[in-house]
Amino acid sequence: MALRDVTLGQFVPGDSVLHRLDARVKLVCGLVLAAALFATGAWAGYGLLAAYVGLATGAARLPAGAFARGLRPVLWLVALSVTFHALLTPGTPVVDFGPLAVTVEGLDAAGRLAVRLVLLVMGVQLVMMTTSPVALTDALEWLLTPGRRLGLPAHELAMMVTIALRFVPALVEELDRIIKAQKARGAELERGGPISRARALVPILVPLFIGAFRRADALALALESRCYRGSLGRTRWRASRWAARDWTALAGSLVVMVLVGWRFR
Amino acid sequence: MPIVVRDLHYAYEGGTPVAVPALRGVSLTIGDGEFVGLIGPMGAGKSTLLQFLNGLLVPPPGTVFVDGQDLGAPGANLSAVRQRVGLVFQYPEHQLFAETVLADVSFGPRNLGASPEEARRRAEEALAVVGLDPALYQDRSPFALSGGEQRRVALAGVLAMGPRYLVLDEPTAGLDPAGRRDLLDLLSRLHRQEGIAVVLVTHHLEDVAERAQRVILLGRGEVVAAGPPGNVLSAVHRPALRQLGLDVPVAAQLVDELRRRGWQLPGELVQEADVVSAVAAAARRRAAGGEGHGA
Repeated sequence: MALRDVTLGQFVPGDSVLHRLDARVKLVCGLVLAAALFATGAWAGYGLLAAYVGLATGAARLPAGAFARGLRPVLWLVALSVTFHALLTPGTPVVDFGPLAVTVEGLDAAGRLAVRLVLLVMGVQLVMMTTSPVALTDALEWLLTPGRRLGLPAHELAMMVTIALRFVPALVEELDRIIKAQKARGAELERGGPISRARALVPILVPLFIGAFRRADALALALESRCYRGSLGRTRWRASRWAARDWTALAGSLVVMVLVGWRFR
Repeated sequence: MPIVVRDLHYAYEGGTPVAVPALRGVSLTIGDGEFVGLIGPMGAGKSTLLQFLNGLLVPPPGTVFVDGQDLGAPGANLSAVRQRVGLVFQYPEHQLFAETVLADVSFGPRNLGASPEEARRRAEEALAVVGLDPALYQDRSPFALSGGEQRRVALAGVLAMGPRYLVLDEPTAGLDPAGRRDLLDLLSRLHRQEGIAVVLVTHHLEDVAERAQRVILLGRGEVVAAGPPGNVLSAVHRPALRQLGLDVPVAAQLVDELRRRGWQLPGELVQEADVVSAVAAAARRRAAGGEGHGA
């Protein structure tokens, strides 16, 4: 069951408005959202961005359980940083613990940080979960294309990301098989102190890495035997075009973000 | 004491709308010291069933018993069960990890709490059993060996735990004909000489026709037929076998064809040696003119 958490942010097929948007629009909106979240410092700005993310979440019509599961690991980070911020910011004390005190300023800073982190992760999740990996990497390649003049291998980088994403489920499955095989040989994974637990990982990680290299070798051969040679003279099978809804979504999002970044610094 | 499975049901993603039934009420017995062939096409539930036999998947209470112990009972001692029921996965060489063959093979005994000397002794014994001279192999890296040797090392890793039951999932997959025969011979020897019960999972009916004492045919999560190889692979079950996409052994196909042409071949003939002697005897009778020609 724990293994299922590894596939966080996995694409959930669907036909909501967000699913049908061009991946490039979603990627750009995600990046601008991240920028806006850090540009603004006012609660009104956060409110506007929260409304924006909330609207997008509603439009994505993702299974609530899967979406919430993705947020769970972030909540730990949020809890940790909120605690530190609330306790360590000097100012008017609300509750006094002797050397440490929860201050009004601390609670304010902690609240801002929490909102930033949660909205950021929600935005990333929305893009990841509504966009197929292939479309996502095509969009990534498109975004990196200007960098090609500077010698950035845009296509190759995007290809690497696609392959990496493609192999996550396969590796999870292999990991499961290796764990079972070592358990069948009496391996105990959940017993003992931190050192013996770390040592118990060796019989699992070594075969996993060897398997990953074996796959990579086979894949490289398979690509070469089909005459893959990188970006040189390569055309695209799925040529995505910008539709009216893409322009509308992009324009609407940019208006919101610019407003937030400019009006509510 | 045997392994007993009673009306075992299991579904992947159980309890959700996307539940996939893998086992639908499987009941079977693996006798002490028995050689059982478990056959069935892909997706029949073979690999799932195996994981219940040593408690890797925890069965519902009262469904799987190993030597009388209920694996589903709360607090069942699963590590003792895993010692008694050795499970060899498909492509077991993919689980090798240690720097030396000896370290890898003694991983199991060490996990069971054996002292280093005891683990070493058992590892050396197991290596000798699988036909790898410990003196030559124990200090080599398992990754520098050939594929067939790696598989033997992996098998030794399970044997070193001293199992009473050896359960193997497609152990001959990817081996050449000689490697395949060697491995099956090794299993027969373990069964005969050490008295280890062997459960051989395969979709090669030839392998089990020649070696198993009993064959269990699994299809779509159910036991379709069970009994001696001659029985399960007999003409009665041929349609079911074909429907499941399994090839009947060539020798048995030859018997079918000869019978269709009017040869008198008595008995359930599925093993090569039996077929050869029966056909030879029938051919002699025909040559002597004792039997109707061209019938």
